[in-house]
Amino acid sequence: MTPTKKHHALYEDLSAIVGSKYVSDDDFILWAYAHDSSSVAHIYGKPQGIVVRPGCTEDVVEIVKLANKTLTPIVPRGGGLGIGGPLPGAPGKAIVVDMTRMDKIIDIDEGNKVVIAEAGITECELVTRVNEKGWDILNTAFQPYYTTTLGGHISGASCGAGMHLGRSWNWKGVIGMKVVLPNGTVFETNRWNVNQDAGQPFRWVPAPDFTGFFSGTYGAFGIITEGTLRMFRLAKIKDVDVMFFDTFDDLWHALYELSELDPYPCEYVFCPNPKTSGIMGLRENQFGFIYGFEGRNEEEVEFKRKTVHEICEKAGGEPGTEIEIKSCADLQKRVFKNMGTVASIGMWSLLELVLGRKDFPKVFKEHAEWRDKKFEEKGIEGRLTDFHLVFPIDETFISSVMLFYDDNDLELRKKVFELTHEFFEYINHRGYVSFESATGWSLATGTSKFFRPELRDFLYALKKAVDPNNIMNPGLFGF
Amino acid sequence: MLELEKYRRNVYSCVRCGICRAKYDENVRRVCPIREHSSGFETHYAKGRMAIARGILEGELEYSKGIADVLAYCTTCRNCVEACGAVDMRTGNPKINATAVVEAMRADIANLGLAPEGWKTIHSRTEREDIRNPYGEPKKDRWKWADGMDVDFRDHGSGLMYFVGCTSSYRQTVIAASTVKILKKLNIPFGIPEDEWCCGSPLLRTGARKQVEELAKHNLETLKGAEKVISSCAGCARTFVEDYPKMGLDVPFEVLHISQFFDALLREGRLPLKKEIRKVITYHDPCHIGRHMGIYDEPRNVLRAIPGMELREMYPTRENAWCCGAGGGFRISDPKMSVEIAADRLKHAKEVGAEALTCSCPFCMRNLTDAIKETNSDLEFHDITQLVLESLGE
Repeated sequence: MTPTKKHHALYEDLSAIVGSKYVSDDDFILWAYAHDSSSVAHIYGKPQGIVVRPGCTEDVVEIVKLANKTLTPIVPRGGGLGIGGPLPGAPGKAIVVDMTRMDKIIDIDEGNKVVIAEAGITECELVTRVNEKGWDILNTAFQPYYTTTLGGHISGASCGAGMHLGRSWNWKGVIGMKVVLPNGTVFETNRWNVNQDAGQPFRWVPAPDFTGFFSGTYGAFGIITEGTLRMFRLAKIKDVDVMFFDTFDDLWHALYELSELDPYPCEYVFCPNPKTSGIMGLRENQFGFIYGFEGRNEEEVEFKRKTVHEICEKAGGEPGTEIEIKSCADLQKRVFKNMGTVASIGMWSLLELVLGRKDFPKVFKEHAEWRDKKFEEKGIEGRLTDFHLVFPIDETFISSVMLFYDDNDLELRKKVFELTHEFFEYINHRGYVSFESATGWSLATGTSKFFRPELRDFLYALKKAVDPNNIMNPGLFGF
Repeated sequence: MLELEKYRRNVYSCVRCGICRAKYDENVRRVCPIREHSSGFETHYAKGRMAIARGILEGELEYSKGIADVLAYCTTCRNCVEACGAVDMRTGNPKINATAVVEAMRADIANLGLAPEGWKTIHSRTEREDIRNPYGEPKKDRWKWADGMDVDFRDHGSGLMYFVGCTSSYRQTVIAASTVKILKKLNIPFGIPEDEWCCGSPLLRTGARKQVEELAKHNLETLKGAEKVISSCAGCARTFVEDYPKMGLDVPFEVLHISQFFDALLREGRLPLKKEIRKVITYHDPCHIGRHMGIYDEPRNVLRAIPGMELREMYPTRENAWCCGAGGGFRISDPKMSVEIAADRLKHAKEVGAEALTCSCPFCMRNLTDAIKETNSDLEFHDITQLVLESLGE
């Protein structure tokens, strides 16, 4: 006789909510869910207790109520694209709530310029479908971020706090969301009037900005089941151009001057250092300045190109040749639509800093020196490919180092892992912000240790009030 | 050594970005038919399968009945490989072949005796001397479809042989009969290998790799002396062209899928498609000749040459075509879901206003016609050989 499998204690109850088809406690399925896109997934990824795929907000409500009743922790899961390490959860016990079954667009409301969709829809589907109607949203054009879910995008647990390189941080395009709070209450952040049919969804309700509050809480205060995003008219013309600079200081002056402009003329900008520029098939001895721009007609596009050229040339930049521009146009397709082509060199790790404008050149140089020193110390120079890019986002600038390496080389993997740890220490001690440090494992055990006491106290008090049993993503922020 | 070991680099190149689930653009709506029709857990599409593969390679997971069952849920359609943008930047070639990884894990599973029962059945049937086909039909009945057709089992010195395949011999026999009638009508001398065995495709897809060598060697011996071999089965064509050489076997003749053969005749002015067929038709790309072999234009060229016929493209199509659901041994694993996947294709066909669906693979024909019956659809189905035969005035 075949022995009957011993199921997770909530297997039957969860099956009653969503159907047994959408519940599993198989070890190999939990193993897959223990891994995200981070380079540390294989170290910190621990299988939770059971995984469930709800089909609607009501399912999520019932799951959350059950979790509360039984004091079983919950780990929400979107596209599984976190790059800061898997969430800690409660290995062997927690319920992984896979939101990807909830992937419908509820409304493309052209009159109010908003799109409302379920949390499990991917960015690429959402963008394509609003584009088909002549609209656009703030989204992260990169892949793999491109495959993140809307819930991940808003909550930040999978880099979704990300940026639309031209129009600023993505969360600014979030009008509101539907959240299932830890007690099972469904809370809509952008609807305030008791009359459920009243008016359009606004983020700016006559109360504190709870949309902002839930953007970036990574599921620690509730599970996002729907999101409402602002839509913009899709540009008719898109183009790309490139300039080159001899020194970082010259490049920096151009970037700084450009960031003063409102509206910002570029849709995206990224500046490879000379080495990276060489890898991209551009000039090996100069900093590149690759930018995309768009407009409703040729005049607008030409005006933007002229504006950028004038500022860059004044700072010492020189225009790219026709061949270089064409190469960047192709590169743009490959990099932005198909980041996998780059990542395919091997696994990757991101050493990325988000900095204010004023201190950027100083910290950028320090960061570059620190990295070079570490590469030398660890003897890994030449054993991995590093892309170093700089780009402005709104009031901030980003210095991004992507390390591509062979994950099958165990010694190299160990060294990259050490480097990643040292990088977190480096930035946290200095009080900088790291994009990837604000996700998953790194936020749970790394950055939150450096929170100011008053921030920690306030956050902990809120958590206690909203989630007294600490069932939502335990361990995150050190909860 | 595990078969999976051979694919270690593939496994470690996966950065778990999930494009194999989520690619969505002007050409692609959904990637994995299994993911869309099953429970949809991450293990039910390429990303999670790669995670399992890595777990096995790192000794964190062991092959089990559960893993075997999940791996059985793959049609090996390769749409995930097409969606995956990962290429080796040094060569420009695709870097990750999740389908090959799944097939390697299936081989390990079969070697460990963990293969699903349905697969074990086709493995044992194909091994039996009196059967040699996955359907369990007697070998002596293989040519029943040709009764009264005056088929010769020699090549008449022309060097052209027609490898019929098991599905066209025992199930979708209209394809075999139509092919033979076309060749005769065009006065093209040809032969059929009398002692034809299964090409091994169903075994390769379901993990019985060790068994295939015997079948392959036998078939190559039977076709000895041929200069050109045509196949009206997408699976057989792929196996001869792709798999036999990978097994280190010499295939000393040209192998053409029937659509390539027709296209070549058309270009040489030797395919007089004259009779009008007034139909709005759409072509379903079989995975085995499409994504696996890159044959997209040839069948379309032939269909466009049929007078009166309007060919409309379904969406998705060509490289992104939705699988019919029959491949990779999946039909045996879950016949119901397999036909449900085929029903998606009927919807795609209706969306472009097609009156009829056509294809060039007996497996696809089987599943698509089953879906037509199952859903009471008014779509017609005609294999490309049937359409060519009709337009030749038969």
